[in-house]
Amino acid sequence: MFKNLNIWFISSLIVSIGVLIPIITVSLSFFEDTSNYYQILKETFLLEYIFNSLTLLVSVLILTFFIGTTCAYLVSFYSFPLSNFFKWALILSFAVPPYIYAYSLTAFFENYGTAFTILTNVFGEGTYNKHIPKFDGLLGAILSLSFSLYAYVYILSRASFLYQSQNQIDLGRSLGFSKLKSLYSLILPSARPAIVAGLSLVAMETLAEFGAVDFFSINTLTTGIYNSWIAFDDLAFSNQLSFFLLLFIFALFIIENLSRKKAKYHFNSKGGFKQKEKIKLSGKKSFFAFMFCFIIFFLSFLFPLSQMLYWTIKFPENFFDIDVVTLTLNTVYLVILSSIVLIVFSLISNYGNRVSKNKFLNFLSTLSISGYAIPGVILAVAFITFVAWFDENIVKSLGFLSIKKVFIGSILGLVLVYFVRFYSLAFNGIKSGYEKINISVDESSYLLGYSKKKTFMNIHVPFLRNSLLFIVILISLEIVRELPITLILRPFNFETFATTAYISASEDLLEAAAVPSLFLILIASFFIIITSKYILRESND
Amino acid sequence: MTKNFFEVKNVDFSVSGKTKVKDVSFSIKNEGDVICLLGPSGIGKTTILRTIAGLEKIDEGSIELNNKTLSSKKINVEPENRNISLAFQENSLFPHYTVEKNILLVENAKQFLGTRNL
Repeated sequence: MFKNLNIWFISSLIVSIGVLIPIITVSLSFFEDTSNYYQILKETFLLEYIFNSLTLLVSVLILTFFIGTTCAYLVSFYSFPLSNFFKWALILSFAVPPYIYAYSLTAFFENYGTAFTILTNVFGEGTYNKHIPKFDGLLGAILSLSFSLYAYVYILSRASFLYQSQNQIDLGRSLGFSKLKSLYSLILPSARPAIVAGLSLVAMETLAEFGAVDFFSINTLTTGIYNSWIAFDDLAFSNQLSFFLLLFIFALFIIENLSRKKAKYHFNSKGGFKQKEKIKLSGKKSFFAFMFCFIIFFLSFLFPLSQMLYWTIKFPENFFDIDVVTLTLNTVYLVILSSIVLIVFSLISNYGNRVSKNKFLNFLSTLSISGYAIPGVILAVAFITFVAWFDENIVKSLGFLSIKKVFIGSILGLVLVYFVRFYSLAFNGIKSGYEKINISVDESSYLLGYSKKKTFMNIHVPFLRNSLLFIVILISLEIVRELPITLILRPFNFETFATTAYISASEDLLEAAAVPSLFLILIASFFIIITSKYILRESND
Repeated sequence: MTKNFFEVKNVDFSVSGKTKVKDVSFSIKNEGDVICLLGPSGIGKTTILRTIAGLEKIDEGSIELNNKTLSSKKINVEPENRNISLAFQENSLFPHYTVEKNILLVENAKQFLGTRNL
């Protein structure tokens, strides 16, 4: 089993086990005793929590599927005004986290909000409030999550559409299929794995969402997890709830996988692929395609951006209330530290897997990337649980000083939990880079006299340079937007744009949340713009 | 009796419990001799070459070069330290380097390796 035992194998094993600790902590808590909070919850709100979570999940999945695949279909198969611009502009919605979208939605539609101001300026004084629709509660959360997350489905289904051969489309035509019939009986089923992959990311993000759901005061399982920990101090039950959430996600994956049976979705790379020709739209069709993409781009990106910009200009005093320089430095500090840790350990783990060719290690690595599926709140709580247990049972019993302060409420703890949460991003990013390097390249290198370390440093790292840059930017994007982990584990008086925006919004000072939100959107947009070509290209691979 | 220049003795090699080659033995008497390994497809010719180059670890037997054991159940000299070359069937150029740099990598390697033994 351990025939190829070496330092790389051991390092890789340690990294995988390290990442798995919080995940194992969540799973083990399933067997622990809980307080009577479970009983209280069962008799009161548990059904409501489950109903709300399911409603939120199903609605967001339907909306993101519709928006994501329609946009991807239009920009992949048709040519219309600005279609090349929309191809990458539609990814910009990633720059707006659901909680900031929620602030924008409320700010615009609330009583005497931006919509009211616009109507007053255009039509004069009036009783507009009662006619302005209110997008709050569950509906607000569904819209916030859908417009923020559809890009997952868009990117992956677009990549899949690009790989669909003209032959397949021609085949549909020769069978007498209309464009619509080709879409639902040939194009969409072929792109099914990609669409499902996108939807599963949306599902994980939806179930893990904290900021928007909390802002709209909706009781979901995530809220329940947070409440059982914060209000009832019942860590075990909060972990159990999250374990149920995970089981639910895995069940969805399994059902989808089983339903596919043995269908294969890839093309033979040796032949049969014919480059697609985009159909040039004109007249009404062109207008509708343009309008659809524009409306989605407007609603998902321009709307929250302009709302935050408007408030920043309207209430300039808020700009001076926050220390932009410190917030930027804090964010940069976290980004640099986390990126270094994530890149170094993911490289080691990937290389260890590559040189060891060990099935057990491979299984552990696959398991360790599941941290991305665990809500940030839970990871933070699981981390605190583990540190507290380790401190009580190991450190103190050995007579050492408590280590709690080193890990809880410190940058180190924060970076470690980011590491667990975003490990799958770095690990999978490097893995996909590694898959492009034939194993015989390593072997050539060894036979030329390069050791494993030299092969790693001189051959692999230069090859992976572009992938690493891309991963750093993805990590930066995630950390800039990340809220619950930062909120729970940050050191005293250490703020980021996300926490500053959340704190202002939770104090009902939405105008004050505008400045940090605006900065957050701008920084995230910058990261997306410089990597957009890469995101679209990488997703093709 | 003089010792052979290169010797493969009773080599066994398996992957995940499945035997790939069993009890393989052959030798090269003198340095510079040319030998040919013949056999039907899937018999394990490439596997034997890979174990000689050190790219796979053997389970039983030994591989010796110039009276030095390169592979056995306990000893395994890393491929980079064996001074053995192998030409791959598939393309194994370094894809991120230019043609010039690919050639220079070999030149650089030669400088610290000297002349190849096998």
